[in-house]
Amino acid sequence: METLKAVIELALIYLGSVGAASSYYIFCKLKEIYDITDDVGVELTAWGFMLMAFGLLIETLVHVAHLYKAVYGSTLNLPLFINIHGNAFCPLPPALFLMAYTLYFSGVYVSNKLGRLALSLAPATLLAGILGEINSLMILMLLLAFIYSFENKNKKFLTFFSILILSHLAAMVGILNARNMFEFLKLAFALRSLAPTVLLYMVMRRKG
Amino acid sequence: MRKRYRSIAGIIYDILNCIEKGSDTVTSVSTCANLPYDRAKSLIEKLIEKGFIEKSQSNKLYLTDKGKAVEKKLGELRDLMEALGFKL
Repeated sequence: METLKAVIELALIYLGSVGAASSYYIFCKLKEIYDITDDVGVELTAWGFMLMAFGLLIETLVHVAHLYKAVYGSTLNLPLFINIHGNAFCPLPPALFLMAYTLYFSGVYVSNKLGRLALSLAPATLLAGILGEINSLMILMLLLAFIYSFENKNKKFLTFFSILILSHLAAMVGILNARNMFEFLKLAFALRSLAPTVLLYMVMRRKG
Repeated sequence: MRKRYRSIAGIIYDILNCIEKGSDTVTSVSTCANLPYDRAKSLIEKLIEKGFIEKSQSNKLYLTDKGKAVEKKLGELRDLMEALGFKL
């Protein structure tokens, strides 16, 4: 059982590292575009991906702590982590993801002059405040962007957003379901790590 | 008909692409890139400052080596930009 746990944690560490590297790669590419165009929207989106990379990296470290526990049996105590039922947990990544999405949407709004998209963020924030759950806010933000962008029929964009929405749905179900909380949170992390990797893969495949 | 917005990256790519394809005056670039004359003129001046475009002695526009590299790079990154939701 412990071996299976360790294998799952290793797989999650691998996915998280690749996801963080993909997000950082997208950040670098967007910074190159910003250097050429001086487009503030592109710069905002770039920093959104930097925060996404940072969030994924911290979550990967959480899984390093889980792996340590599965292998050595004792908890790895890092100052950034808190412990829930003996499992390392860091409350920072959801906040980083929220900031990343806000920067991302602001960037796309500034660049594309999409007033409606910016306006849609206000009711989403209000609704999420009423619901009092950070994942629901992210789902609403992503869902609105998804609906709004549907007219573009960009398959890559829609796939990227679908994976992110599923990831936050899994996290929300996990938080509401105490018995299987960590299983759902692991699934959410795997999906979240996959999103930038899949996006980059689709872009590269077409180019190649 | 709905107005089609383009991001700055898309507009700059179109300008560089038009010059590469032979448009060598502000008027021909503005027609080719589908931009108002004043907007095309100010963007071309900005691109001259950045060293992507130069003017010959006969006042014709042409791409510098840096400009050719930038056009190629923007062409390569178009897919990524579109995938992220930017309109090009």
